[in-house]
Amino acid sequence: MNNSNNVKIQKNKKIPAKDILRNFFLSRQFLLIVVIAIMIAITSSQSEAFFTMANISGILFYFSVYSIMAMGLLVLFISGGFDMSIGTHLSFIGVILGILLGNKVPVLAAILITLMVGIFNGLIMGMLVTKLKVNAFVTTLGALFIFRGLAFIIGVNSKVALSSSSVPYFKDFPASFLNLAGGKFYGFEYINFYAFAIALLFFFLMKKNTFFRQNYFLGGNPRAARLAGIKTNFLIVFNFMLVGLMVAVATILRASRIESHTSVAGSLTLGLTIVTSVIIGGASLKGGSGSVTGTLLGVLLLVLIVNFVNITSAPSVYSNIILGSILFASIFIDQVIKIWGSKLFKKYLKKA
Amino acid sequence: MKFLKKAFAIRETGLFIIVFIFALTLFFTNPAFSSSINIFGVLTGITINLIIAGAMTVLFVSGGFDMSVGVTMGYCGMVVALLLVKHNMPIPLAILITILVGMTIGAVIGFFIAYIEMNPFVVTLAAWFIIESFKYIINGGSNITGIPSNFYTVSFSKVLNVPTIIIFAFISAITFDLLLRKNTFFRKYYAIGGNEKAAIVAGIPIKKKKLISYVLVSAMASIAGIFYTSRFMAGYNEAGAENAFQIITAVIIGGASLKGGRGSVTGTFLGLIFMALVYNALVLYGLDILWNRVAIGLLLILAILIDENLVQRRNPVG
Repeated sequence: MNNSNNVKIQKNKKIPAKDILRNFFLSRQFLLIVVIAIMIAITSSQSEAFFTMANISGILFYFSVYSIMAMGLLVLFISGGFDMSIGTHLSFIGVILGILLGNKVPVLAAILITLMVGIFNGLIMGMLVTKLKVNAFVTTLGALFIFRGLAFIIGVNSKVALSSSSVPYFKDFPASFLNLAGGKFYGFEYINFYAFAIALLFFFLMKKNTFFRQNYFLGGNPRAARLAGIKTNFLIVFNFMLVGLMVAVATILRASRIESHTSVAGSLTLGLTIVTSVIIGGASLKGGSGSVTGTLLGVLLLVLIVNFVNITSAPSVYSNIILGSILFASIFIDQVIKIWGSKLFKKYLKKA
Repeated sequence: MKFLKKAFAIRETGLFIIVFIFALTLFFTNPAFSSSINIFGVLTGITINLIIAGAMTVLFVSGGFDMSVGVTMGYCGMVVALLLVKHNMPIPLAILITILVGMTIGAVIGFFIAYIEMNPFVVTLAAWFIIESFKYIINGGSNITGIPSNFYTVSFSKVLNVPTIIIFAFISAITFDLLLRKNTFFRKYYAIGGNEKAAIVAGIPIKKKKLISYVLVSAMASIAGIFYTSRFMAGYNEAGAENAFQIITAVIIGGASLKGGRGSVTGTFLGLIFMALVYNALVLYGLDILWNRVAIGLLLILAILIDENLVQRRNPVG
């Protein structure tokens, strides 16, 4: 090796504290925290109901349910995949759960079967995308419709479902099921603990676990990842199954907490709304970027926007326009930074 | 034999055969199918989507994507209703202004996608949220009624016993089809979709053309909204909710790829017919309409499956 190059090998340098601070204040997460703070300020100034126990626990409930789903979605997005069907997927899985519980299947068995249904759906979608090369958008668009239709058909034709204005719904779950997420612990509901634990788990998985960190590689440069030996197809199928699992978990906890489930529990646009919050949180549709903290903040922002519209006298359309504008602003800023950054880089190259 | 081989290589032939066999099956097994009311119903059901379908195909061919056509249609339908009712505008002027509104929406969306190179999916998703709320902001939440009765003639005055709305839809679809086949300007969209870098090098002004494709789509969506309001004589909040996905599904069933470079208006038209026939079959046989969603979802996946795996692909995927 030629040693005449003046290349200094850098040993593990500690990042100085002021750089950590600077990186934090320039980060997306900080910006999201600021927007969330603004949202809270505006909402509480427009309505005294904001800081009530009922409202806060409502916010925490939706945050818990959506963040569980968003975790699975985040991993899929980082790997470059896409899924917009999680809204109606929730409806469908809940219908299965309702039928199982209604037919007096033991609670533990019902939960396990429901989880497996979610994983199985993910497996099918993953196989369609990888082996049969169906485009992910099209697959999940089709799945969106199929889940919605099946949630209604199975619900309407099941003996244990009740019906209100032709929407099948389930209630009267066994007590042991309701205890799963229905209780409180020092004021915090069980469901919030579940969500917190899952978020913590994903946080550490995406930071430390090699298998999960492979997704960043896969999303960033799929061809390089495959050449480097990463089992790309397996990983993508796994991620779809993970999404299905998380949707099932969220559905089960949700049904346990609100003690009922309807075939319209997940709307056709819920999937897109959660996709929006994941994108606001920093994941790119192309893959390769995204963080658990960003996603959690994105979901929190989404829930706060809907809450703002619900408890103030603002017309409900404000939630759409705020969400759309924030989504647009976040991708616009991303794009501007990308273009600006590449221009700066070219200038740097010219100088050197 | 060679002609047959060539014919089958075209995506639309297979789809045409499927649609033809399906229609034939319905014709022979269900007497209600061939009644003029039923046929008329099927055709009218696809007209609104058919108006937008041509421009949407052009957009998909160039590799673009637009989810916001449904809300643009609903919003422009609301705009024309407002102009006619609250501002008592003469009909031609109201139509003109509404189309201009639609073109502006398309221009804004297209600008951010073509010139600032943002991802079309996310931009049109954001546009969907934003434009949908515009609709409620301008009408205060209620549907707009009381439209002057002669507005109905816009879509339903009959020429040779066929309503103008159907004539317009078919003429626009045929026009876009011919343009995509013969006109150089429109054929270059295939180049943009097939290999964008090669198109740039070949001197095609891709940014301008992409912007134009988005303007076209939103303009056609606004025209569809005008026809919709004319047909139902009210500005409805729910107008256009499902159209975006229906049209996208039809375009993909018709042979367009999401990446671009392929597709035809004929295929899109056949896709629309096919979806309408599926729905019609469910109605005629008394099956649960709830199966419609499942059927459309399965059709969509099946169409792409067939496309990706059975149709000869000239370009190997890396």
